[in-house]
Amino acid sequence: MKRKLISQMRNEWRSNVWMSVELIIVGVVLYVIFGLFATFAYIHRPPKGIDFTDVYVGRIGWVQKSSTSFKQYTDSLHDYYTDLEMLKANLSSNPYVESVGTGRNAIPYNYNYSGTMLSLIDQDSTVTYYANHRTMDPGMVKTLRITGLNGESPEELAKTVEEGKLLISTIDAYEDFKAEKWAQHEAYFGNDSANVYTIGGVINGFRRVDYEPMYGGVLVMNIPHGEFPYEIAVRVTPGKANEFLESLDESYLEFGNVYVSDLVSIENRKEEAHRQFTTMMRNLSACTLFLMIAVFLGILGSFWYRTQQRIPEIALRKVNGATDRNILCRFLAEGLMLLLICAPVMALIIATVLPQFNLDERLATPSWLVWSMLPVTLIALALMIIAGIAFPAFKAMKTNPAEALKDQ
Amino acid sequence: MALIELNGIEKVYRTKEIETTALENINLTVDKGEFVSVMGPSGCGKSTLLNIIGLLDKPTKGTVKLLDTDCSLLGDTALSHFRNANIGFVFQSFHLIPSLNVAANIELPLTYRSGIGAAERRRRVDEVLERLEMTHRKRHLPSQLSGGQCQRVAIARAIVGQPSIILADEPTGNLDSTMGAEVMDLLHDLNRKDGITIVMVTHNEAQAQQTDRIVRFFDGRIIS
Amino acid sequence: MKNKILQIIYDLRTQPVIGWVTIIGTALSIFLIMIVVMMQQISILSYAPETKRDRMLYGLHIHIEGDGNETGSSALSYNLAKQLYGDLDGIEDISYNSEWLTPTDAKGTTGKPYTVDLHKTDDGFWRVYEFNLLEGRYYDAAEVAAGRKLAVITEKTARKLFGDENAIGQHFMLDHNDFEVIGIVADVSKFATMAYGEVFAPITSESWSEIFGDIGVAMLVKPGVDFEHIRNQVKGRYAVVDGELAADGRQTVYHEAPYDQETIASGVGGSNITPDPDSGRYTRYVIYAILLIVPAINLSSMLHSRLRRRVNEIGIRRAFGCTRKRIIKDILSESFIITLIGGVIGLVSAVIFASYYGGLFSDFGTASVRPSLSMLIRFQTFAFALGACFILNIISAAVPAWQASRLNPVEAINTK
Repeated sequence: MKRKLISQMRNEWRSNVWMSVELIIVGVVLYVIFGLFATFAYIHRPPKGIDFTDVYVGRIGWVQKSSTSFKQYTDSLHDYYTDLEMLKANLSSNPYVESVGTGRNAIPYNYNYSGTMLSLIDQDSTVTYYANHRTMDPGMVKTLRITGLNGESPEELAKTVEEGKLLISTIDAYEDFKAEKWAQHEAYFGNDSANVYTIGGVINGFRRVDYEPMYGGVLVMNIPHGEFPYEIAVRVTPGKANEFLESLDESYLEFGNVYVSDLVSIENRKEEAHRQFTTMMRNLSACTLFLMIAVFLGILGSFWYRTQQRIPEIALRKVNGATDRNILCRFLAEGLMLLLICAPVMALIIATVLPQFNLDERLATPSWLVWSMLPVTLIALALMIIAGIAFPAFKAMKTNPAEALKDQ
Repeated sequence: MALIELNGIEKVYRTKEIETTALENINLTVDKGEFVSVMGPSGCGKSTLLNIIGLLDKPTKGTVKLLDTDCSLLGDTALSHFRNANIGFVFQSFHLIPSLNVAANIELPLTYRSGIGAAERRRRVDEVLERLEMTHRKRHLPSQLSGGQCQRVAIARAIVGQPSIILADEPTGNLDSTMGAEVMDLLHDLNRKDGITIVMVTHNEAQAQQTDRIVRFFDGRIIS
Repeated sequence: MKNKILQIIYDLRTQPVIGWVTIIGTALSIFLIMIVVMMQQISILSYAPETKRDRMLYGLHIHIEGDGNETGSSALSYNLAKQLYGDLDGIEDISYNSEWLTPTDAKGTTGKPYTVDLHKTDDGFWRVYEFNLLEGRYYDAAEVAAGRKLAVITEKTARKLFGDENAIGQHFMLDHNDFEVIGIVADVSKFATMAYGEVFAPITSESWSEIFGDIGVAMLVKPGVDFEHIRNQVKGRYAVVDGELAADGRQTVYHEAPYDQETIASGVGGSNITPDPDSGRYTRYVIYAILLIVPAINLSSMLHSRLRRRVNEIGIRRAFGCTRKRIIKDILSESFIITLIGGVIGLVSAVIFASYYGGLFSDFGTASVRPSLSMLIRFQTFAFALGACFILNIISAAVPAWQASRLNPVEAINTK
């Protein structure tokens, strides 16, 4: 039986060679695509130690002094800062608002990256790295519900930030960097070793978007006096989002020369920020589908023809007592054998050719995960081969031996 | 005048294991306007001879001269043009193209000839159809015709290009005797009226007797 | 030709599965290729208001290295933009405009506040791009220099701000400033990434520093002038700036500015990196190659199967004087007709898909944007589709056709 199978495959060698080339190309491309899927699945984790549910974020605007609607104050007690404080106080007084915070580059799901060189001082050495600098007032720490690695509550951390201390975070890519050990150590920015800050607490790092590695860790710091925040975040009582949005009017969104605009749920922001990834994954899925259909059609067409050619042979087999099951198995064996022959070639290409393209070096995915996509690819191809063969094989099984032989 | 001249033709088929001699030292001359039949048992090389005369196959040795042209020297393209201009084939199993209707099948040789427009092609096809009394079947597919009708169409196809030679390989082999007789009449008519030289392979002694000359074959050699 | 079509219909009838696999495979391949082609074309071919994309160069970003103040990278200040790109030889027109759009609050007579995309421009903007001015006029150089609070708005914005009232001469609040509407232009598609905006207002030349600002430069190059000629002058200007910066230990990092439309389309990336349009192009080529080769293998094996059923016919044709070349030509042209049938199905479904499914172009804007049919259906699209069909046909049919032409006529005639 086996020898016959191989000799049969040799008879159809030309068609088999073409099918193999197709299987190999499709296999390698599918492997790359599946590898990307696996990578995204591996990297994609919702952030830990931070909570975005029921949070609305918006933009803080400042009416310019040149503006016609700029409100001139006669006393010197009022300025942008006092206006902002009043606006925050008004918003906080909304019955559906739990907390309000402001910041600069404080809220994830946007692609700004503000890298700051941070040096952590140990007894006799310093560790220097680029952290993602996120400035926020204590209210923002509470609004985003940032919790510490050692179980500090958002309120405690807010107090730490208020005291002018820094929060640093873990870094995914560097497990050796034990963020915890730096709590209560001192640190400075850039080369400015004269101005020393205290690390007040350690938090989990959060990334710009969920499909990206964490480049440096996060550095949280209070908004220095003299800098204007441009982000505002509001935590709404759970389940009261609609009531909150309806209650909003100018009294909440404007005070003096400061106003809030574009208030949206952070989920909205997230969706927008992830759009390029979802688009990419959708396109890759379409590619996968196309390639699988191509394999299916190729196998279907090629085996359809073979079946037609072999109807007398199949009839003869049936006359000699072959069951439908035997015939189906024979066809399947032929297709799967082809895949089995191609598999090592695919593996070879994957191992030798692919690495030269540096498909995405930023995404550090464990190699076991990437390689495990080879069996996944083979299974996907096998399914398509079985589907493609089933159709002609059933036709073959339905062959009436008497008629087929009469034709001959 | 000699239209077909075969000199010292030898045809050997080689496979890895064996060597088979199909034709051995064949010398044959057919004059213009002759109707020659070739007879002999199956597998004696008749068809091979016809294929060599028809320039579909090349002899291993020897020369083929048709219309005073030494065809052994021609390349594939020149041979194709030569066949197109001078030779018409009629086969035992008709070999009409199943996807083309009667008119298109007949037109086939003309489509491979340059300098002949579509209108002229149609005119010639109609002319031949009329002559063979097949005009009413013009739009039919070969599968809709009887065997005798198919062979008439095949003959129409063979003569539409006005060749000087028709090579017929058992043209009546697949037909009953009435239809076979009709086809033979047609061939004789072409030979007499149009002066077309015909070489016909046949198993039918009676039909062979009606022709100008019989060439008998045995084991790759001419025996008479 | 007629016989070829009859032949194809006959083939389809006698071998339906193989025929349909051929047509569906072709259609699918052309469909996907055309999707990729259209996505690319939308970002590089010209349409209003970016009607001269092939002559546009964009001066964006400046990157400064060194110690001290004002290092880093961002958009240009007005002064630096002028210094780097002003009065270059071979430039027909130039526009200094805000490199990014500012979402800005606008409130008109309808009383409802809207967030609009504000594009701050100079007067050159209206010459570099060709907007469709429906009513009113554009602001001129003097008005821009004076910082007049005038605005040109799109039709849709006019409706939002003023309802059915005539918008020309109306006043509205834009970021808490009183602006007067002087012109209304047709809506701009978000696909016109460089000219897009909903409200256009004079750019103010005050910038927040000597080097960085929010200015991008759009230049219309004179016909026939080589982009390299412009780029070389810009390099010279960079050298001058370097000379000035050297005093405080700073220097510029040159990132191949100014950029052509293809570079803009493939993404300029950050302000501190050199754009790499090549990598995008290579990726596209790889995609085209896969989209062509994989189906071509299928089509090739289908054609091979179809031809094996017609060996006898090929023998007969050879007997009646068909040359080998003619066999190849006939098979290629016959399979080209089938490829074209599949190609038309693929192209039509691609156009329908692209115009109804906005998600395809979601990279262009926050919401899904749909291209208009006139952006999708154009000469280049058909040329591409035809070319793709042709290549698909050549790579799938060449081998089977060649094999068919080499058949021994005697054996072929005797094949059942």
